[in-house]
Amino acid sequence: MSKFLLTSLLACAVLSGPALADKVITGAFDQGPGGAPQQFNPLTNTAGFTWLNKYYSTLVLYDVNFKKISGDLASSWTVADGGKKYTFVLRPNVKWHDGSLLTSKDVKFSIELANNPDSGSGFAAKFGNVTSVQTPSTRTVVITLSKPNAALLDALTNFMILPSAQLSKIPAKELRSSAWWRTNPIGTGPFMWSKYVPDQYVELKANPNYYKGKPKIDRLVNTYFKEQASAVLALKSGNIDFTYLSLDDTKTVQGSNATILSGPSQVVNYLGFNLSDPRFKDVRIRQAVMYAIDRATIVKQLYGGGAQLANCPVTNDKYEPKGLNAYAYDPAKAKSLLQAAKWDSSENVEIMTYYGDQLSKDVLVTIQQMLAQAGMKVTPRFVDVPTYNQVTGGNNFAMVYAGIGNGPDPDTLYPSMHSDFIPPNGTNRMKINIPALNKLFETGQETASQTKRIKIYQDMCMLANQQLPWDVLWTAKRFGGVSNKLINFVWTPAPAGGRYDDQAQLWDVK
Amino acid sequence: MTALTAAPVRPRTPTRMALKRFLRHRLAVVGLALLAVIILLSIFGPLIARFEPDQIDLLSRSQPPSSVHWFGTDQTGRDVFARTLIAGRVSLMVGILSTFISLVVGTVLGALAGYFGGWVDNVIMRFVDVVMTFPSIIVLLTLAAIVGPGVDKTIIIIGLLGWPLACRLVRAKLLSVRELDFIAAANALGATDRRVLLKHALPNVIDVLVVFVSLGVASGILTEAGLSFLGLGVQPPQASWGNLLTGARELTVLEAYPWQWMPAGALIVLTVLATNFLGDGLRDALDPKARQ
Amino acid sequence: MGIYALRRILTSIPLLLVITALIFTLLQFTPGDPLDAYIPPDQVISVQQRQIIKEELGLDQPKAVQYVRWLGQALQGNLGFRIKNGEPVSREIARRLPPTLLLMGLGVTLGVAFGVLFGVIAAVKRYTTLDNVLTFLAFLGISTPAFLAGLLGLYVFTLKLGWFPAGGYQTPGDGSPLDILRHLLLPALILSITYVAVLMRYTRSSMLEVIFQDYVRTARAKGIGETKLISKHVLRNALIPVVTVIGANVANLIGGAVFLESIFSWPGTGQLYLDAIDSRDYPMIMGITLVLAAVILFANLITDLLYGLIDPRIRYS
Repeated sequence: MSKFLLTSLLACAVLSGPALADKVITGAFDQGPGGAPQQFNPLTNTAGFTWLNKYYSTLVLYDVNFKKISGDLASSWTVADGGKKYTFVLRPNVKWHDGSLLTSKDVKFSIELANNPDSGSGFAAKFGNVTSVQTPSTRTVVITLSKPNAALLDALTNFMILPSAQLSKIPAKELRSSAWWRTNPIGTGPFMWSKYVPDQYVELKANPNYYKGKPKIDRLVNTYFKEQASAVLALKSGNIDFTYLSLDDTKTVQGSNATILSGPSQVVNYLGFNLSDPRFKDVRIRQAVMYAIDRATIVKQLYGGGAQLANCPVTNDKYEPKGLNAYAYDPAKAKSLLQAAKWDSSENVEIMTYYGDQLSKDVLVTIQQMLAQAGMKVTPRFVDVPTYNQVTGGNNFAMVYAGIGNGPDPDTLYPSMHSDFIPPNGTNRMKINIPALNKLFETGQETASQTKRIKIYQDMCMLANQQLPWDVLWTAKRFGGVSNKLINFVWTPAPAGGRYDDQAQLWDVK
Repeated sequence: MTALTAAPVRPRTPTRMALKRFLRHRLAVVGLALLAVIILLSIFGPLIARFEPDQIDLLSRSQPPSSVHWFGTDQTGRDVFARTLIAGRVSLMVGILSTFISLVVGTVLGALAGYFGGWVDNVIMRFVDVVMTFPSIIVLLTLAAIVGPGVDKTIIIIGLLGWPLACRLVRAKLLSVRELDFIAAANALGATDRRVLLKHALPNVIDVLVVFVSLGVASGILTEAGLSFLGLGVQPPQASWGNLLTGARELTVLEAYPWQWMPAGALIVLTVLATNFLGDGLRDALDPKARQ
Repeated sequence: MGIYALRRILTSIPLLLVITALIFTLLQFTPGDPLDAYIPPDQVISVQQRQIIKEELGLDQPKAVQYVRWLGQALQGNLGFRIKNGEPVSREIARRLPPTLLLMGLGVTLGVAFGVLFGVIAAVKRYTTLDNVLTFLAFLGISTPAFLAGLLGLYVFTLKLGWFPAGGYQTPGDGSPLDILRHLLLPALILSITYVAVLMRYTRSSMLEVIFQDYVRTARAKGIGETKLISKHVLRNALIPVVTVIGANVANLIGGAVFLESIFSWPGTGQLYLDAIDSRDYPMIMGITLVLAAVILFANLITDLLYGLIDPRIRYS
């Protein structure tokens, strides 16, 4: 009798086939400037959305080329009342990871939570015009604005919808650093929370009820690396399947077991001037700096051609008008402009930056030499983010070298260039105060017509190019490396990560 | 006919004997010579180099060693040979001066604590505890953030963080020496505390201090390298061996452009080797009981 | 000796107060406060929001009040909450302690074992080729900066040879002791290099000095065998500087392997410290300082007690 049992058991084992190994993709998704390691609160995060997108979802998303916004949780939407009323229809049968259904109540809850100052969310600035959120049905959401906001859809591309059933139980003030975000959070994304080992990795597992189909892989792991070199090494030795790469890193990854992905960073680098400092009030000085720097050579040599010259803060072709001053390298002109503006050549100006990577160091050292040749002495100063924030929040600085996200919607530059947002009210750290520029940003946000908007931002580009509130330099490409073992993997750089549909449910391993 | 006076004999002073012992120690002589070469190169090298250490040449980036650029070029086309040598000035200064500060402060305090004991010892050792307890990293980071990075500040900070070890070594030595018989004998014969301390106890401490100095200079240079790794210490575009070595932090540079960081690394190693050999030789030479 | 130890422990308490007060004061002079670290350069946050966060974190109180409040809580065993994510400070430190202890434990053990061993060999076989080779290797060990040794080690042993994983504490999904050991070995070995080098030098140097002392010569003249001589008479005295060096390096035990932890992504307290400074996380910094200071004071006490054991001539009044 037992012999029969044994044989039948064996037969079962043989006939059912070998157990399928778990399909895992491991990557350093929070590596690099777009990442936010170990920060899991989508309301207060300003980066790390690539990872957050894997288990939370947004109403709308860009495509991978950032050309068009399509619905994700929203199946469709209409804009009415001159851009003041947005009606979203939600996709049917979307389930939270705990099995309950997503309803319009969750959307209303999320937006109101963002606007609640207690939650400390940066989205409050973007939803400032929202006067009410209505839920006429379980799948319809109506957002009413006091003024049209053409950039609302753009803002919604990284606004994660949160479960009202769970989060309404937690007071908003405690939500900011609540343990909920890192112990079994509930989302609607392709993957769901599995395990978090602090300082080491986060693991997600496939969401079988995902509305676009169950993911092909079983687990997705995000490992944390303190050293970029260690992440690159882990990629090359096959320990991980994906990481962010710096320009230099691409040289060592080339031709190995990984492929290099690249894309526009949508970040524009600029030299900023403390415009409340009398030394820099004369536009000729800012012009001189532009003429003194051989940007074309820097782009060609230091960036290996992987950057584009930028002549105004927006670098999307459609917003650049004809007739911009290209400020081509002209050291003689720079010298004469400095002399005309009576620049004191014995002055030594400090250029502060929060960048610490080798490329930025090389760029600053090169700029230092170029400016010296034109008669302006500068010294680079490398600081960390808190120091940068504090110093630029005040008045005790001269110049900075920084980068700012300028896309996909140019409205994202508003808080950094409008005089209403001079610190402590916002991030206009260079204290730009140009009434005409203010007006352009305001109208740009309120105009619904696409063609009119394009014209407005073209005007803004021209104004910035002439009056030089910033000395805009270039916009560079950013890179990632992915193991050749992966199939259907999609990634493109974005200033804060995420915001585009990377079809994570289709990712697969050979 | 015998000469009435013998041929003049050179007197065998302790110093001469020490020198003789030192010269017999081959490695020490090598160390001294090596150190001298490195110091001379650092002082005069940048003058004989063909290029200015800060001269950028974007068209000659990251070139391997050649007859034009003897150590190749770095990521902005600067001559690595010139930069490495001028970096030596900075690193050596940091190592030597910071150790000097540690040595002076530590010896004085350690001698006082070790010899007098009692409450003097207690107070000083608690002070040692406070300084040693300060994790050097937080003090370095905080002070550098407040006063700004730079060579002089780095020297002072490293020096002020290194004296406790000297103090403890001197004190420990003195604690045991204090009990030795010849000190008791000297006291019995009426010699005052200070004379006894200086004449008898201190010389016994020198061998430990010599080792401390040789390791201290090395440690100073290495701490500077570590600070550069954290983004402090000597800032670009000024060069130090530490911040030249930090270039290896990028895998590409580590693997494909070794000429950019290996010379600085090699010089750190050679300098440390030289100071250590030198220290060895000095200890052997100064210790009256040492045998060859 | 017991009274001495007791007295030391009692004097440690005001010392800890002084240290924490000093660190707190230093922190106030550091540019940037926790909010500046918490909020990235291009995040828009309204004045109202900023004020709310400030109040919550207690940053709107005058400095002295903040310190006293922290102290009061610390005395009750509550080290506060981390600004970054609201986790209790004590839990964060406790979580990082096992990996730190593992790394340090193995690293120091290997370092002491090989260091003293090589030091003794080098002293006994002084001036021979073996001595020179060992001395040379020791110098090489001391003179290589930690981060370079780490990077090179990672490069050679992980990338080129494939013997070890590329950092981390464990493989996600695994975490067995064997898995952790595989991840631990390389950083521990590299960590031990410095200790081997330093201890070898000190052991050799102080042994050489002791070997020539009169009492050793007398013992040798009395016919006591070389091995017994070394182990019983020479080694004990030679160990004084060794004990000093180990004691001095205790500060490194918790905060010191920063470079290796960074390169090998080892979740230890050293990195925690740097993170805390980067984010100006006052409660975190104060918490780690307190723990670190207490550990070091304790280690110093042990060191001094050991002196008394090794050298019976040392008396403590």
